[in-house]
Amino acid sequence: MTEEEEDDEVSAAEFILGTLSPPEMQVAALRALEDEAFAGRIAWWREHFAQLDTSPPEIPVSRGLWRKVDLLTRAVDRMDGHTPVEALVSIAKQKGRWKAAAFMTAALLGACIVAGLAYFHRHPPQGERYVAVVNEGGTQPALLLMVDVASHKVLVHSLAAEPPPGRSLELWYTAEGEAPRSLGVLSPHSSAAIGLDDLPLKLGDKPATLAISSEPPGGSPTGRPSGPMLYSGPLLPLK
Amino acid sequence: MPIDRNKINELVAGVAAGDRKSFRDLFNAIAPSLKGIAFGILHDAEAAEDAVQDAFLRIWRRAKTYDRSRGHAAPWMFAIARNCALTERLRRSRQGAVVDYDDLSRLALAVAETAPDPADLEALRQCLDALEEPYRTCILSAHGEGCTREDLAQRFEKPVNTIKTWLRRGLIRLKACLGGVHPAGKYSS
Repeated sequence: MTEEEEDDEVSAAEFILGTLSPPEMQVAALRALEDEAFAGRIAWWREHFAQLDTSPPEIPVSRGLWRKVDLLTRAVDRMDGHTPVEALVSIAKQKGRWKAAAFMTAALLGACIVAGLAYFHRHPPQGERYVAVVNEGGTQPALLLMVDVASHKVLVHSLAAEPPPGRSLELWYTAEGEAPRSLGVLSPHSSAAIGLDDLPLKLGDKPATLAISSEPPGGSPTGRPSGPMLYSGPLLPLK
Repeated sequence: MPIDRNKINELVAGVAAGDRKSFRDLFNAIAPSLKGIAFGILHDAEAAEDAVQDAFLRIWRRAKTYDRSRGHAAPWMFAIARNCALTERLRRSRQGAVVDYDDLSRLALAVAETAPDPADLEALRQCLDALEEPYRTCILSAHGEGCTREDLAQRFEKPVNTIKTWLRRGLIRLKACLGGVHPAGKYSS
């Protein structure tokens, strides 16, 4: 084995062991995209080290964990069962490799979706609830929103929503056949709760969409979306 | 309690068919083991449960794509739990963007499309047993206890660069040993 091959072997193994520093790990991940042989090394080490976990110690889980898992997976089912990560894996299997940017986006989004859903399950609302993942052009999840009817709140967990420079993001509720109604201006990169004083409470009566538009600072001056809709997603019941 | 791997395989098949009862039974059967793996890496019960939660989300989503020809499902789920724990550790370290270990290694697998030789897999323990110290302990501590290079440096009271060298030597020797294993499990000269 040449020194270069040794470097690759060690990087791949340390990637799986988790001993690479975060920057080294990202370099290794990008490398795996462009170098099928390197990806093969990562796969080789993963498969081998997995053999060490034959009888891990058992630690009882807390009583509420199953309920969280159950709710989380039911929420995922309502997202058509496909996150961008799944879609890209499918593409990867067809094409063998794909662009680094898409790969990293997929990996980051995968983490964001899980983090976002976990957020809601750590801060659970009560009663009738609806969830929406709003996307950019049907691909990138930007925000995870949960409407909690009982507390009259929309819980917002920002995943990747970015307001254009000098603009605000405004959240809109649109029931089928009706005009959009503002739910307020969002602050990006945060989790927040928005009051629902004016929201119709019979949310389940008609198909509805949550969407986000680009507006002047502070929100639309007209009470209707005045800028382009950047993100949108259907509002789905979470039972 | 030892895991009944055949039972686990049946439950995973049920989960793949979307059966929630199978999913619940699978959770009851294997969640403590997944928490054991996650706790070994995170050393924090709450963080370990977050990792287990993430792992079951992935198991639910991916059970239908699990290739049973790759063997028992338990190691597949253990690997997911381990990756989720590593991701959780990275998330909690707040060192830049969080990258998802599980998605990354899964994507690497998708690109590589390789499946290891089962005989080769069985040889891993043999080769680890044959590995000299401190290389062996470094690798096993990194894998089983989630030790970072810094953790190992502290444990051995050595500079991080020394640990990097030990890991490198150990991993190269491990690879050479595994690469030299005959399919029957005997070492070639």
